[in-house]
Amino acid sequence: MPRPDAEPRHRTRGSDPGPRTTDHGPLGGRHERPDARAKVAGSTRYVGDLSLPGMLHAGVAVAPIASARVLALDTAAARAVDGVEAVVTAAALPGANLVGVIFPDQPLLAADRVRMVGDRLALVAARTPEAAWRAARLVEATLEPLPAVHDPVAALVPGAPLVHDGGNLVRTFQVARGDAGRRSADVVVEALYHVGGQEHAYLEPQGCLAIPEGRSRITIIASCQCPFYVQQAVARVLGLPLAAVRVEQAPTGGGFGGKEDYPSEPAACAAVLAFATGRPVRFVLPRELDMQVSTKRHAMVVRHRWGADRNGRLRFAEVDAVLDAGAYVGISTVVAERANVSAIGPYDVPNVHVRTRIAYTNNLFGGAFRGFGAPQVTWAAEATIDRLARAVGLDPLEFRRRNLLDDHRRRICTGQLLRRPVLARECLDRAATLAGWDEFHARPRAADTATREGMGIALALYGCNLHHGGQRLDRSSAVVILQADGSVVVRVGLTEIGQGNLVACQTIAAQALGVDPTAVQVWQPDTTTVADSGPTVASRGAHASGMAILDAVRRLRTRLDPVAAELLGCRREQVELAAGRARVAGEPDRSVTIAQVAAELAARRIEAIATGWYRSRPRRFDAATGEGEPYEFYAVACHVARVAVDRDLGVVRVEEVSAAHDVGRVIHRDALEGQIQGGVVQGVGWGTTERLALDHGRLVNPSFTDYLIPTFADAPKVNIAIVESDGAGGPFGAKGVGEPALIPAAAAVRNAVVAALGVELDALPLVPPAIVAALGDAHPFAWVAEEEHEHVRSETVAPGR
Amino acid sequence: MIPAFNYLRPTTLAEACAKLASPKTHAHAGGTDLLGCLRDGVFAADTVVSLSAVPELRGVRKNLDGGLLIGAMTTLAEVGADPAVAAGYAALAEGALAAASPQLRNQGTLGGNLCQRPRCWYYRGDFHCARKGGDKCYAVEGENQFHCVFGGNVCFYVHPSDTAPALVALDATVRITGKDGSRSVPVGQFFVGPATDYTRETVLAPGELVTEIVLPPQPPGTRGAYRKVRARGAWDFALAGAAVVATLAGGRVSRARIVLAGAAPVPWRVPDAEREVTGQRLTEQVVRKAAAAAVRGAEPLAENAYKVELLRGAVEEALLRLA
Ligand SMILES: Cc1cc2nc3c(=O)[nH]c(=O)nc-3n(C[C@H](O)[C@H](O)[C@H](O)COP(=O)(O)OP(=O)(O)OC[C@H]3O[C@@H](n4cnc5c(N)ncnc54)[C@H](O)[C@@H]3O)c2cc1C
Ligand code: SF4
Repeated sequence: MPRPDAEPRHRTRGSDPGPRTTDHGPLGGRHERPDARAKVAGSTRYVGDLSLPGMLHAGVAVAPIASARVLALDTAAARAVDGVEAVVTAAALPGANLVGVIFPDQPLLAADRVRMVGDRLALVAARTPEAAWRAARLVEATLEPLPAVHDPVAALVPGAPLVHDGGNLVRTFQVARGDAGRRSADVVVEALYHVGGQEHAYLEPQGCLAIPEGRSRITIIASCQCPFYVQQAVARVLGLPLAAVRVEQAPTGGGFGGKEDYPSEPAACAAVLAFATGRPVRFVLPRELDMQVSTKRHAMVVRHRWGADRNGRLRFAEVDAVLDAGAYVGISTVVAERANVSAIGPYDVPNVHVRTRIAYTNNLFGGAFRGFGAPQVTWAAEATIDRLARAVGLDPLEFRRRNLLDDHRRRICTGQLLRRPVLARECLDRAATLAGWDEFHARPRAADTATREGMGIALALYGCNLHHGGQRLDRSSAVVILQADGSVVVRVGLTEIGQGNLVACQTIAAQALGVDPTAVQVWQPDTTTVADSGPTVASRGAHASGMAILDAVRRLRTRLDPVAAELLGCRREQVELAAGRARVAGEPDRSVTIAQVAAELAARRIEAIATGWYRSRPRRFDAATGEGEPYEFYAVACHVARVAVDRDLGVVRVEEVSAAHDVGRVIHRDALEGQIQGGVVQGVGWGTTERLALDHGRLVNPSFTDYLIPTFADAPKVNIAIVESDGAGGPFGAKGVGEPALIPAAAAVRNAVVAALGVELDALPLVPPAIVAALGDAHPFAWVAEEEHEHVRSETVAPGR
Repeated sequence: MIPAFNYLRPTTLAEACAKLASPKTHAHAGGTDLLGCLRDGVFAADTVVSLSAVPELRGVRKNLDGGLLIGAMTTLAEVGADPAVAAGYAALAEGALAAASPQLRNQGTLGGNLCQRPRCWYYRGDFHCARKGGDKCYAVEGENQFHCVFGGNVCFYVHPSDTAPALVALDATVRITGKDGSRSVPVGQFFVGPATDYTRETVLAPGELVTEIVLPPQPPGTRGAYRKVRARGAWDFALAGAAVVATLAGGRVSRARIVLAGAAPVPWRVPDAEREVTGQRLTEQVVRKAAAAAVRGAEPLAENAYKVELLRGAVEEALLRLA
């Protein structure tokens, strides 16, 4: 029978259907997202849909090789293209030729040296996109190839080609606790993991529109996560004060970190061209170029040496990781900081030594990507945990249970004490139950069929919000305006990029003001309406904007409550806001509508606008030793994956992922579940099919035909368990979930595939070539036992376990 | 961005062929492959000639000899859904439905599927490789996970079609019309390997069009299957595949065709494997021997030795389904 390719296989089963909007307010419910209808109907206007009279289109000429000296740039042919209005090279920049976020190592336009494929050589503005891109191709660069280095480990060896003059080692981070601790271990596992990069694959490519006002001010409408980063970058390249640069957040079709640091670059390009021509300039990257030049998840090489005693207690963990920064640091240092302190996971290990080094190479540069270094080290840690469990003959669940942090063992590897409750075991149990772990393992499985089933588990400990190193950015601003009709305007500094920040802010404001969510309009950030609120990253969107909203509402109520009290004939302390009304606490019948209160405020000309501010608690952290409080608080996640692997054909199918998340409090249930589903699928893609094929630093598969993100036919069924608790510290107790949703997924899949096949897999993605190669060596599971101790059993585990 | 071109929509075959004889002129069937090539600058077109208004190119018909005629403009979805194809030519139906994605199958045609250009990512990218007139193959020392293990010579791509291997296995014929008349070519001779000419993929001359695929009647007891191996559940070219067609009489194979996909620059028929099953019952042992014979002589590149295992597995699975 003809068989069409697999159709969408499952509908996702969500967590419990939360309460709908009730007297308790919308918190935790599922009211309709304010941006949903327009997006589904296709009427949302993204940057590529915007057009202005006289608008020009930008194009860019980029280097096709990874390492070279620029001998000459000839732009005559490009300038001659009909419709071209400007061609700009490094020599013609008005301000600083610099776009590096943290390190001043990246020029906007390469002047003399090319360090990666995609380095910009010249910018073009033309009346049509066709002319702009044709002219860009006609820029003639004379490049003298220089030696290049593409392996981050090789880059650190003396004598390797230098990417920048100062050497290829960018920085080293460490965590050191206890001693090496090897003496007390009965089994020791050594492994070397290669955990590859990933493309963000946002649906909307990078884009922005720059609108100049003479040469004194400029507005940028940008698809981005960090309008304030864009503002800073544009001010720098144009030599303008920050106040003269206005950045408006455009509706943004996905970011996943790819629109954290990178959008500053196209924005700076468009701004330079707008100033050069005096006309609005739109710059939208074609997909292939976008994939070729924008940041990627960092590839990492992770070496492990971990030991446990024969009772299955972890004794020590040594991790030596090298992170491939690519040609520019970008925000690699911050990624490495997170990787460094996430390398041990939610486990209690008395002796820890982690070293994370950042290496320059001539590869595409790494940047922010959902999880921010944590998925890579989690993949390695969870692989090693499974190896150790096998070595001591324990079920992977039981081994983890014996080592997980809990309310009595709360100290993470940096010495920080987790806030109670510590919900790692709860997450493990909930995920295992959802997945049917025990039933799965009780079922007999044939060992002679081509298709093998396996189940694998992985956990992640996620430090919420920004790392200590980025503490200065961890603040945010909100404005709340009560309109005369009782509706509410909310402005925040964190962005909606598809993840649900608008609905989260709407819910939080509505809950705090006791109004229906439909009464609240949240507007996307604009740098002229709120103060710098830092980046929309680190799962901090709902947290940081929500906290600032709550502060603004508190301040607004200092003016609102007295008026309401007068109308109600009560004391202001008795005023309570709920269900669209101001009422006397404990006497729900004595109430007026919020609209009435708003009208009264307006009639009396009382200031009905309030600003709010949030900043994270100051923390102590020693970057040299890795001791202290890298993050304010933490979330735990546990994923269990069930896979079917065709042994002969090397094809992995992820059938089901059961995800348990410690989220503090649910703000909006649909948005939360959407984050978990999306994170799982993106993690599964990274772990199974997504492979950046780099040929001498050049991506040869920059398209969705050749770079394989999951389709609906590949998306597993996702079961979700939400673990709620008090005391987390976010708005109403919420913790971020955007990144925890991805972090353990690929590791759980890896462990499931290993269980199915009975061979170790030490690199991702688990594409057929990798599976076939692993089975080809068909080495049984192996570990080294410390010589002075008894050797453990060393037979191959039965597949399926 | 697709550079501008002239667009013609002739209503007769003769007119279409006449237009297509000019240089830099390309036929447009479903356009799913053509427009991608133009957009990516793989080649350029001054003129694009749509075949959509030529009525006789579309549809599945019964042939006088009891076989089927499939117009070149029949979409892959139509081929896959056609009851006569499914009943008598399962390998083709499965191949058509294994290709690309539902949208692409609704738009892409069988003729276009046979005439699609190589999917080698260097060819599609900004590399002036041998097939595009340059002086080297980038894949041979580059990223060649998805390249060929058979039939490479100067150029090492694999033919991307999921229908071509089935058509070869079914002994189908391609009807070709040019401005000077018509001819018929067995599908097995329609494709040009790089050893013969590495700058083109088919025997079509300028101005020639595929008009029809002729499927001969299959003897009673004939069964077929297509097994495609891919990393992703949809929208992914074959890493490896096998189209098999066998006629069974009294439980024994009297005639067999085994054709590999994702293996070579052309659909790769493996007569050694066919001999292993001919006269035999399709037992596991026989099938295993045939699969081993199918990959004998494979010459993997640096990164694609895994394909040998996949091809072996695909042949085995496909043959076992006939048993
Ligand atoms: C993303 C993607 C994934 C794909 N995956 C697969 C896959 O998994 N398996 C698979 O088999 N295919 C796959 N394809 C190829 C797809 O099946 C073909 O694009 C489609 O069949 C081509 O049909 P078309 O009608 O659109 O051809 P067109 O794009 O119109 O034409 C393709 C080429 O053939 C020429 N041509 C078309 N018709 C004729 C004719 N009658 N006579 C002579 N020349 C002609 C055109 O000039 C052009 O050069 C994929 C394509 C894409 C874009
Ligand atoms: S395999 Fe063929 S198409 Fe690909 S790079 Fe080599 S010559 Fe070009």
